[in-house]
Amino acid sequence: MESGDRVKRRLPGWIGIAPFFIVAFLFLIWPAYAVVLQAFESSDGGFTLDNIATATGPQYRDAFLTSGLLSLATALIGGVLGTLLTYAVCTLERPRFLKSAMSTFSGVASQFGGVPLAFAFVASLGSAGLVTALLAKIGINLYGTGFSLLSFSGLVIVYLYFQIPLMLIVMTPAVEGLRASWREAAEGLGASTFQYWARVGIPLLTPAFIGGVVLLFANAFAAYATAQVLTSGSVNLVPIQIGFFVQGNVFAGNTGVGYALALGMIVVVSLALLINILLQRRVSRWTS
Amino acid sequence: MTRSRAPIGRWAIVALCVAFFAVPLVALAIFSFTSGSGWTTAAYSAIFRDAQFWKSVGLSLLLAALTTVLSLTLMVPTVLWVHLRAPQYRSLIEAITLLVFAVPPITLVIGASGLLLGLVPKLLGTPLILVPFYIVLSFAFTFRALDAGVKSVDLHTLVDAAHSLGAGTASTVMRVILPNLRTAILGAAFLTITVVLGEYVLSSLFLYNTLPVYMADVGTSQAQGAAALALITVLFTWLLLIAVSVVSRRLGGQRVGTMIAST
Amino acid sequence: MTTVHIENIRKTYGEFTALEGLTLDMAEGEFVSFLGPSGCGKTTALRIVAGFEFADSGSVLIDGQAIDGLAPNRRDMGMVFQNYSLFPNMSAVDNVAFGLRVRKKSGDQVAKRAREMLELVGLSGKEANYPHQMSGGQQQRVALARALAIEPRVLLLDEPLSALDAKVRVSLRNEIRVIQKELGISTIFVTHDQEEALTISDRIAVLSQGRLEQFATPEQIYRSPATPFVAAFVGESNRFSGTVAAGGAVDFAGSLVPLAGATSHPVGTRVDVLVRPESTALLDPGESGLPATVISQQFQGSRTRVLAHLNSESDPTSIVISDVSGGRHEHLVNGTAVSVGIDGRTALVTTPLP
Repeated sequence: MESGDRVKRRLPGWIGIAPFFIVAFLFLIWPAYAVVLQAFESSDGGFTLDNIATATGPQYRDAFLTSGLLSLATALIGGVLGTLLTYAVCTLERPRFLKSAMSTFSGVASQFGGVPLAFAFVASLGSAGLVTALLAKIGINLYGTGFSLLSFSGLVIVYLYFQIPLMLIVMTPAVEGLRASWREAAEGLGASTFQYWARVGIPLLTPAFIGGVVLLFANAFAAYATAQVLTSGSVNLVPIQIGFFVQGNVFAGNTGVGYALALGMIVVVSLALLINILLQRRVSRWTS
Repeated sequence: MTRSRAPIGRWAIVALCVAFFAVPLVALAIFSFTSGSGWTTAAYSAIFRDAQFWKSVGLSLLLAALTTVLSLTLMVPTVLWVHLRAPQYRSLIEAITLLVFAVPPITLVIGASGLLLGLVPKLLGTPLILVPFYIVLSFAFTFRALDAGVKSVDLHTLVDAAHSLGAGTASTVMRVILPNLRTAILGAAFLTITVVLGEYVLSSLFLYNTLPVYMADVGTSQAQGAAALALITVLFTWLLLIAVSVVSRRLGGQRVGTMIAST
Repeated sequence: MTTVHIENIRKTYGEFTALEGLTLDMAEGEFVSFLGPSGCGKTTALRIVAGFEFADSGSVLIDGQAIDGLAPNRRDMGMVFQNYSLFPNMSAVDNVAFGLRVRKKSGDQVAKRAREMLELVGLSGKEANYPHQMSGGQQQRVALARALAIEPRVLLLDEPLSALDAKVRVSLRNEIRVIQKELGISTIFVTHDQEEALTISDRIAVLSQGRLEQFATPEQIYRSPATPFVAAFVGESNRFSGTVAAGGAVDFAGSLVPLAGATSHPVGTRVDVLVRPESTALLDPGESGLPATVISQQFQGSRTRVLAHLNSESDPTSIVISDVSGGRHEHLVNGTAVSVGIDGRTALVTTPLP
């Protein structure tokens, strides 16, 4: 006997999910498809590769480079720090609330972004910020060294605020999956701590680590709000550039290029997500 | 395994990270409460006196409420249907919810603008146009929360039991299914609200004065007010998310983290 | 060939005493089982020998030398865990070779020995398989090969068969024993399964609540249990209550049964008597024994288990289990009156148990 009502049994399966598909189609799939389509459309409606050419050309190369570099930097730094933090949090026995507190915090902090995050850092590392002032009191002129929060390096620091927690979330299952029995088996067989990590621990954590770094990369690449609010577009990033093309409901400039840029972004992010999913599957095979 | 050395290295890392996370928040708090002459709540009262603040809060809350209600109305039946009647579509739906992350909001805006300009000019005039996009943005969270909730309750058995005792569809849903999904629904609701309250990209580019957009505006003129607002928003959002965490822990181990992890 | 001596080990976790006064001596090449229920301290004892736990006091001596200060990776012991101890990122042969590689042995030597060990445990041909591609039984064989590859002084096995299917458990335990005898390695085998321990051990150390109850050969453990716990835990026992009577007998509500063990208790005291099913006989009502009535039979192949209710006890749990071999149970239908005879030599007479 099926767990569906008698009436429902006469209805085909797809009917129940039709509403979902309609919404998804109208407001996700079609816009995404529109981006792809119009990236190849010239101003008179014909097919062209010019937009792609412009988008990957010298004018925007800088944006892609900067975005890529920013994403890579925050992904690697956030990846390493996040992994170390995860290991510390998962293995420290005291204080006992540490692990659950950090997990909850990470769930929250990984979503932190945009306006509040920008302001929080302006309040600490801005030219009139708390940390800046404290450093001045002990004789370090932060802004005198050429550092500015509203720059590339400033963005790296700000992005880390949500990148590190995101890495913690990704790495926690992997670190917890490192069974004590493997460590003990290795020690029983004569391995030193270094040998255990080199031959067993790190190889087992590597897929999750790479998956995490890739995810962080995608996350940083796609981020718009934080960069926009903080730098008002002064740092040349791909999302910012796309933003220039959309001012309210009016399109400015050669919209085709805007679409091409958006397409480029979708491609980068999708690729990263795919790699992450594949690697996560590998992790679960080993840790199950 | 006992280790006789104190784990200094690990404590150091934790201390370092905690400091890194705490400082900006502390700075925010201090900044919002100080002025040239000492502690004051002047920044806060200035904000609360600003009519535009209340308008923005109202708009954001309205959008949040609408999005949450509509999103749940859409997703709860969908998830139930998929689980009970059409499990073959589950991976497809999951893939679509993941698609949301592959299409960053900024690209969604540009794609949507073109489309909607042509199709629905009237709706474009009101902030309500944001709602369907917000629903889409919250897809992933909502689906995962509900999916986890459905999985943790053996839905098939419950429904079979209800049917064998003579309950019709409506009673089964109202009396059996929904009460058991309460925590999942709450979790999905909280997450949706959080997403909407913090959403900046779509609202700013469509030129609607939601709370985050208002905050960004204020930031350019009243730094302190902006800090105050940011602190309020942060605390409120975090409270919401902690509520999600607590609620999700009652889902039998499914963590908020894994729900959020594919951002 | 190594001797293992455990001297007065004490281990506590806060208020809880895991081990108290554990002392035992293992001969070279001996296979000793640590047997007991969960929480009795057997795994703790093993882990102290391995070096993963530190005893509060007491000492472990290998070949006369105390090893308490040595880290686990210096003790030269091979350990097999209950499950999931194979490194998932390595194939079977790489797992087995791990201990050798860590000791910086040369590549050819390592590969050869690893393959030899896999052959020893019957897994040649499976060298390239990864743990997730192997069954539980195969994984444990690899784990055994891995532990033996380093030619350890002592082999430690922590309930290696508990997670496996019944049939695999039986065949694998025999193989472990065969290999152990062949290599002559002193071995400690932790288990909660008394049948397992009885079958393959040279000697068994029975532990309960952190204390060593008895350390003897399987036969001695079974036939001459030193304490009531051992008698109850190992094999099955009937339990009767009675009063010690004069002349080496026990009075069971009017029925006098001569028991050798009765003489060590003062006349008139209440005692419990533990008797194994095979040491009982269901005799005709007139003969010496406890009056009872047959209530059911369980055919078990080579023997039939007959349950009878003692006439003197109103408590329905006072059932007597008697094993009758061959076809001699046919007349023991429900309702038959019998007299339960007890073998006076093997019955254990003890102060009343809780």
